[in-house]
Amino acid sequence: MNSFIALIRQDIALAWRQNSAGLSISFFMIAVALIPFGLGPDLKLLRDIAPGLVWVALLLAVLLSLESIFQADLEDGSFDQYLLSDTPLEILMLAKGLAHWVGVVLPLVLTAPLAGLLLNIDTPSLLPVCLILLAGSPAMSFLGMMGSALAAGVSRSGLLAALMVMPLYVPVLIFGSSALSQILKGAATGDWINAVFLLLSIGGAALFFGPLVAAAGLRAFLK
Amino acid sequence: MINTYNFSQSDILIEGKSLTCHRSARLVFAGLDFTMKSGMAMMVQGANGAGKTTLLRVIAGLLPLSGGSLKRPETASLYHYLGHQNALKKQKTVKENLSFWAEFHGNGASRISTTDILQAAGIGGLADMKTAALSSGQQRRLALTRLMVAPRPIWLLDEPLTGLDDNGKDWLTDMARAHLEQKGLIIAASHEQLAFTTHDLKIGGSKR
Repeated sequence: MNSFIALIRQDIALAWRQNSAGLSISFFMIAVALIPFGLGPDLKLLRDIAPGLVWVALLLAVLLSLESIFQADLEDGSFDQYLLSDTPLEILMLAKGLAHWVGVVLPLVLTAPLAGLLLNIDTPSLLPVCLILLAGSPAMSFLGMMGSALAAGVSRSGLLAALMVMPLYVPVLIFGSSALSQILKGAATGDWINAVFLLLSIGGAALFFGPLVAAAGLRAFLK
Repeated sequence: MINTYNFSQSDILIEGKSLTCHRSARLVFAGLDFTMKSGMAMMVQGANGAGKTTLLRVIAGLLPLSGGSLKRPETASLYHYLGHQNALKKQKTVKENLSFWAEFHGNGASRISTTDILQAAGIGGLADMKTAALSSGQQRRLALTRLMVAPRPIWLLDEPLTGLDDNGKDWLTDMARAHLEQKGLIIAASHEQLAFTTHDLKIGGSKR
């Protein structure tokens, strides 16, 4: 248990120190801010494409941070130490996933609605938008860690991880952006709340399978 | 100085019989025999590429064996493995690195404060420095302090002297002798003679 908590604390501290969240947030903001320049001053169009745009930019921003989950541990020898612990590797991977979620994805998701203002999303919708993104956020970390672990050890593993994870993100993207369009159309809470549960259940499944897949992948890599 | 634990309650035996190991279809070593008991220290010698690191990793359970039989305690937390890499986070301070491993490996059970451990390692004045700013010898010393924060009976040391000055070598020797007195067990791969080892194991006599 101590190892679990120590690892979460260390990874959040490292994410903070390396400003991983800051980088992802900046990437996301810049991507969203560039779109209006490309599309021209059509407010209605911006509003129509905002749901898909926000999700795609968000997922890309998360992909940027995936390489950092395992690469450093493998390179500096920390991983050998993880294997020589009483705590099962799967549990330690859960710790790493949680730390990535808290240290990188959560700050990103919580600042993302600000970008909504750039896309002509009205202020009353911001809170539901935030809720949808939040519901999708665990899936982003735990699906992402699978790809990150499977690509570990390959040079430029970040790119390879991105390629593997993108297809896994498709359900999140579909449910997430359809719920967002509902909200922006002013639909009642009952119309999009199901999407929240769907996203949460994808996240739950990823929370279970992500650490298992990551541990298996990294063990196979080390042998 | 290290700790007051005594490992003699449960005698430890590591026995290898005609050990063979392949790495990506290449034969690394074959036919290795050795027997190690509590209180013994073995130095593994061999040319570059002879398989010293591979042997240590096999004993630690980090790599699979392709032939022969190895009798070893299965519990992972009985082993300390000091690899080529120091398992230190460069962005963190010296003290933070040590505290992390103390908590991770030792469950924070160490009876000696991190300050005292760093003092003993000769890097007491650097506690609040970024680890990246340390010299390679100082980083090696910091990696070696992991042996002190969590009492574990089996030490597997891969080139422990890398970067250490005479002072550092003396410190390691004292630490290792104290460990052996407490019925610990050490297997070290090294090119330089180690003052504390009692047995030798040569791998890869002929060139391949």
